[in-house]
Amino acid sequence: MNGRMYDPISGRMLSPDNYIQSEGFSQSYNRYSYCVNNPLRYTDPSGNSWEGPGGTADPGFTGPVIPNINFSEYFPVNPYTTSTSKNGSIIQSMIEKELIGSTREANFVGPKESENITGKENNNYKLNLYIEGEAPGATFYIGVAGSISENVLFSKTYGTWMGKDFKIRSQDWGGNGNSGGKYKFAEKWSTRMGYVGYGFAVYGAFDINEDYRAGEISTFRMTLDQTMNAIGGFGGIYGAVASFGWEIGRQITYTQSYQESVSDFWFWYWKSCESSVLNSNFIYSSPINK
Amino acid sequence: MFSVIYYKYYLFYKRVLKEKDPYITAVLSFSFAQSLLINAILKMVLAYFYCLSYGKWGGIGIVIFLIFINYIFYIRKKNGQRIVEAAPEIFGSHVLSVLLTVIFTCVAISFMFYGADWEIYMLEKCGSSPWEIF
Repeated sequence: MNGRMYDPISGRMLSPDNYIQSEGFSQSYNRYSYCVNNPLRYTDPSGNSWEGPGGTADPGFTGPVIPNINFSEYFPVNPYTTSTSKNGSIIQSMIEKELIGSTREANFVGPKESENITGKENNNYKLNLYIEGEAPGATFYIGVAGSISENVLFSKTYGTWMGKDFKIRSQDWGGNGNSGGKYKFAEKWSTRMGYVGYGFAVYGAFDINEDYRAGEISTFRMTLDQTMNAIGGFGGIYGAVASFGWEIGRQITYTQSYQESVSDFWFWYWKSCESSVLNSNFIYSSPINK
Repeated sequence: MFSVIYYKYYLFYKRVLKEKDPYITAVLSFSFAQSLLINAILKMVLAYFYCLSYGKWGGIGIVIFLIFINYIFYIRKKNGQRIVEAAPEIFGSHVLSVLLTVIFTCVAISFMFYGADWEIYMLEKCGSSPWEIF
């Protein structure tokens, strides 16, 4: 092989293959895999094309193909408009993004060519674009909420503390047995939250590094998350608690249910814009592709 | 040098962030910064000379090990208190000491952002002549 380096942790090549070797074989479009993702059966001694067990070039190899693909051919029905005219732009932008440098998976769930889908029935089809950690929202809100919660729990700056009866009081109240004594309960839990947050920040720093190395997250996402981890690791208890919330949010955005709910939201958003899109030359540069 | 950095970390958490226990917070942050540097150097060396790499748990293991070592050294053996009482500075200069601490921390944090790219670069250069690295 000697042409491309292999990363054993992510199980991927570090650079893309030079050619898409078989137009009709979807595995060829993942240019970061080795021998159409089937190293047990095929080899690639030349570095240009995969070969079958007999040592001869596989008949699937049709020579170098520049990735200029008519995507409408592969996704003939537009799930949004039941028209083929706009189809290429959405799918093409999604898949071109995959071809250019990311190993993330875009699973398209839509009507098949043979199905006769019209009107209301078409609404049942969803765009299921599952991209790990890409959906924004939860990380930010939970991170901020965590930091505010810690401040409410025990803060000399804002003059608040919370007893074990979960009532928020001002610092001038002395506390009693029901509240766990002045500061004691609040201080204890505030410190614990800080330590857990620090742990999350450390874990997150190395986890994000690994995800980025495997090409699973964008540079923007990595920069955002690592900034939060730096704040968590070096920002004392406030930073650690913010990082605690951020990491929980990040794990939530990893879940498929969250991703699907975000996809559903944009699906209905696009549906509501459908009429204006049909009457214009607008090309879908969808928010989900950002 | 480490005493100076530890002392400045302590001052930062005590005076700026007003931490309840700046000794332990300084140990945690100092260990994190040290681990980022050690991990980065180790990964570069392994990538270039042996074409090897390790995952996140290797890095986290180094952090835990460093926290343990630093906790024993600075907290259990009370070296942290001694350092704070001695208030060490580089060449007696507060500005130089702060500058050193800031540079140390920035270099450590930079590995969080650029470490992965540099590691991939070193893996690609694995086995090549040292002149080809730059």
